[in-house]
Amino acid sequence: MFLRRLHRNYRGYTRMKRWFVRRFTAAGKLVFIGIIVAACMGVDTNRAVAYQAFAFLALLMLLSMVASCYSKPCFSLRRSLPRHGSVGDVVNYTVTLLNLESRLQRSLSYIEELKDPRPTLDEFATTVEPKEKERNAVDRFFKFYRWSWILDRNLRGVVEEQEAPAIPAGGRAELKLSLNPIRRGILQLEGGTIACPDPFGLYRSMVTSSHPDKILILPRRYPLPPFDLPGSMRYQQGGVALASSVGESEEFASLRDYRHGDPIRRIHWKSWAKVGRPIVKEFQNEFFVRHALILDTFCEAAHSETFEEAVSIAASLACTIDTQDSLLDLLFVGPQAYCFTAGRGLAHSQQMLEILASVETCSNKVFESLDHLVIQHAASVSGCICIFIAWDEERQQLLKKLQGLDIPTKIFLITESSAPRIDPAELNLSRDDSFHQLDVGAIEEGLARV
Amino acid sequence: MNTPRLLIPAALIFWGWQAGAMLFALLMAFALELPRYVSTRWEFSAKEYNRMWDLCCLLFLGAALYCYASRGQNNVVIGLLDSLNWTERNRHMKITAFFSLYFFQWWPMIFFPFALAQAWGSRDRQPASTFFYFMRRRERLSGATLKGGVNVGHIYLAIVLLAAAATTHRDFWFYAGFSAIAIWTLWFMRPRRFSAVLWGSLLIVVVWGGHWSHQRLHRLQSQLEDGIMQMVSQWVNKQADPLKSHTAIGQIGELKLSGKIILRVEQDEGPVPGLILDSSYSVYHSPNWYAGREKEFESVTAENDTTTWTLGDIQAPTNSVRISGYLNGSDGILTMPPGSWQLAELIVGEVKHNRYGVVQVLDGPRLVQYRARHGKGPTPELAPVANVEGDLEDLLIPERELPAIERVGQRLRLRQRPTIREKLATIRQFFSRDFAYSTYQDISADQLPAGVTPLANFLENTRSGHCEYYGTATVLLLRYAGIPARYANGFSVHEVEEEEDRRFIVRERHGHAWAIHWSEDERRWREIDTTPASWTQIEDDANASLFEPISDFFNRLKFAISSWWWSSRDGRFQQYLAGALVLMVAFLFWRLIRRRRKGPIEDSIEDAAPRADWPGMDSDFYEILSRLESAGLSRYPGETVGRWLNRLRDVATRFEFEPLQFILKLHYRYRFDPIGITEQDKVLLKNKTAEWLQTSGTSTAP
Repeated sequence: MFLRRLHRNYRGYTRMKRWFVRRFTAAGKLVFIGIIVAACMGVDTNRAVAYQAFAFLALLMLLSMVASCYSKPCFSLRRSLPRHGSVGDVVNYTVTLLNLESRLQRSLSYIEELKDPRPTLDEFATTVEPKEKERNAVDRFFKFYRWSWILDRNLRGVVEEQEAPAIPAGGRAELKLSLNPIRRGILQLEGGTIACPDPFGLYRSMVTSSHPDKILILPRRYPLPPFDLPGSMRYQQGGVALASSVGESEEFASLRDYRHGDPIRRIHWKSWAKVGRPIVKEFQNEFFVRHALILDTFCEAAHSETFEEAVSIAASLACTIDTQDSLLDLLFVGPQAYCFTAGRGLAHSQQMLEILASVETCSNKVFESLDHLVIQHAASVSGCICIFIAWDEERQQLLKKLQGLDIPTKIFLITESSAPRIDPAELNLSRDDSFHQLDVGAIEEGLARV
Repeated sequence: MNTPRLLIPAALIFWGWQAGAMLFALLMAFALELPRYVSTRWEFSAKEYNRMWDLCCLLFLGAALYCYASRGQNNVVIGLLDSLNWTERNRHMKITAFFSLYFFQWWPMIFFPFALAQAWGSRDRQPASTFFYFMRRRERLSGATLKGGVNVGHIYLAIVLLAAAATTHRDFWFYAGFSAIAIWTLWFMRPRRFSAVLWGSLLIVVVWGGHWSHQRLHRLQSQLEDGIMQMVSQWVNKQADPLKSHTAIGQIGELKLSGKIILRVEQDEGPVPGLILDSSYSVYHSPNWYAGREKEFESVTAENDTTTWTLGDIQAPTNSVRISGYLNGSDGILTMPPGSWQLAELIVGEVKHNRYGVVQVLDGPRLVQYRARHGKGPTPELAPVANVEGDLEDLLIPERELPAIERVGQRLRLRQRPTIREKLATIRQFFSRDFAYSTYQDISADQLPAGVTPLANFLENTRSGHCEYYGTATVLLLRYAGIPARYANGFSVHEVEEEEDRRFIVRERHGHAWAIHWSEDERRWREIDTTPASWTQIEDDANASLFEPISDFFNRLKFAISSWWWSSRDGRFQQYLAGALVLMVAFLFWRLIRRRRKGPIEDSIEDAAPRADWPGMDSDFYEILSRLESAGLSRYPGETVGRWLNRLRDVATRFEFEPLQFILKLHYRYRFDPIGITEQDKVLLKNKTAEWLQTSGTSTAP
């Protein structure tokens, strides 16, 4: 009940703040504050003449607000937005405004309408701010920092307000806008708003045109130095075609007699009928390098900077690893265990980035599910790149299993800068294995040393 | 400044005119407008802007503290500058209450240093980190500079205009001036979307409407004030009225009073009286006592020292006590020993008293401290007064109480006693014999039989009650005996705080009521307290809390702070405050000036140029680069040294490039590796460089 009330109040507060910030110009904000100050000072009209200033400013603001109702332009918009953007890279795009009125429109501003970042009650109740436990009892009770943090998290990008040039009657104007992506994921744009000032330039009327659009914000990527990936070529049963899928689309090589243990689905029934003994199909053996990129998603919190950095490193690796001659499997556990393969024409790293843009933390499954997934694929991979966000017994067990299977492994452990250092010498790594501990906030420097 | 030309000077002159600080306004206007006509600018660094803002904040806090401590003045700006005597000014300042409005008048001066820095500095906009410490910290931690910012021109303009509005010149010219400057500002920021005619027309409506509405507002305020005053006076009369005392006579249950310390009494000359008086009343109408007919207060004129207030003639040897207590706001009733004729060291705006010995103070500090001189001299000015019928009101007995009083009086044969002394002794004896003190009553006035009042029940049945019963019954019995008597309210002084200093504390539960009677021989009122002496012990036992020592500790702390805060008798506090302010401002200026000695240009160069102490800048490898460049083998812009050397390998075959690979690697480590290189490696780099230079020394330019 209390949480519901808090949520309602914070929603109202955020809405009010948004209204104040958008509706009032800089001069309007100054006049608004001036009205409040003059009202406080002029409460007693015998003490100060501030009530005269209050009367003037209040009437000025009132007239501005009334006048703004009578100056609402009519327009339509067209947006040309790219499909992808990346965190940290500004996305430039254009918006074309069409003036549907029969007079010149000037002094207008264009505001991009992004999806409302305010969380639902359920989201507000279940999402916990990463450092909420460290906050004092009052902050924890009122959860205002949680609200601010969720708002911040839900905001995937920022588009600055853009002043529109004068648009003649029936004419159009092209605005160049810059979207600054902040977080990965799908950024939804709901429409565009034209802000039109009143005659005094204090208050603005808003006309919003619905024009839903979306852009996928890919994870931030770090430049990686060229480095050798561990492992050698491995036999890939079924070849490239089967590398990422199951089915009968294999490269046929020859026929031979049935040997005990051959799968029944490989029996060539027509030849059996012809020669009277079981004949099976043989396939061309394919050998090539195949790497597994294992992303650790097991995190209690719904959002963690460590996890975000892990995704960024995975994205950086997916872009850097040459998939012309090799395959790259991205393994992680979300709502279920996933394996996506890219390379040798199967899929591009772009598609892998799209997957990484939407990957979320997993708190309802155990680490063992990733363990199973990795072991399942271990037979075909030449080497593993593990990106861990913690270093506990389960993860160490996985490393030992990979070592036991003689799979060269490169480990990236992402930790807070205050976390204890792990000495690679204690891990009994083989010559082909390597271990890198990277600190949040200094990932780029850490990767440069790899 | 991003404001139109001459706008801020005009606003400052307007403020100076309204606040009576024209000279300062002119100087400030000149200083802020001059940069528009000269090209010289100061290259303040971000830190210096921060310090300038810190200085403004310090001035703001200091001025606020000063204003609050001084509690306002009609014209603080001029008052501060004109005043010569701290004590005189302090006393003058206590007359007015609302310090905040006067504090507002200072704002243009308080924020002037930053406006000046904006006007003369080269930075057009000030980032938010300049104004907020937490943003500075965030900036420092992240290493990134905040984008955007504000030019404080318009904000300073608003401050100046609001400061002008804090003055009290309620005439047409304030509104005219304010509107003119506002219109001037609005003209420059009007959107070009609308015609000037429409803009002007709307503005005329605003100016006219503003004028009309502010007049209406003022009228409305007067009407509201009248209404509220009526309501408040009615409410106040019910709460704490020196003219009325509500008693708990006739109430059922336990009488509970807290142990909160409300007064401190200190021995000065002579002994400390056992009772101190708040007020006295002469008309009883159960359960209340009221002041009589001549209850109007008269003002008391202060002596020349402005802190001594004489209430009556000095005709007796006197004692004195120091009393400290809190007022409810700035006005209140003073508690003092009976027979007080002078109050000394009392810093208040006004003192009033009436014929019932009640002393009221106005415009006083929250904690009032004074010396009360008291004695047993005659006080004819407080003699009993007659009511409209000509009867002495101090002899009247309410009709409802008369039967019981008559019965008791007849039984005690009060009227038959020949002397006043005997009558008093009989009454004292009556109450001391069969009566007991009790804070608990098991029957209320409503439950008594018809015709039986709570006082009659007390006198004839229960014979048990608290001091209000005893006081009231004594007064009525004295009146029956023909002695003018009044009901007195006050406190008993019996709890010693420090034995050696003879300092007493008075708690709320020490509140007491007794009777006073008029002694015709001595021409003064004398006390007669018939409450059993055990009442103080019973009250302490019944109401003392386990946590009283803790609350006493905090109370003492509060008292100590309040004493220090309000001890402005000689202006010491304000002197310290002003001194501390001057020192702080001087220190900040000194810091600024010390930084400035390096010169503005040097600072900016220092900020922009690479630091000489960066690692590797002293690498010997640079000599090789100089040698190659002097040989005419210059590097392309943007070309790395490694690539350059590789390119030269084919071009300048006379140089030995093979050893350079090793030297370059060592140099790179020295220059860019955060860990750096060891001393041995440095020596190696030096030797290898020297070796290479030696072998290539004979080479000439191509």
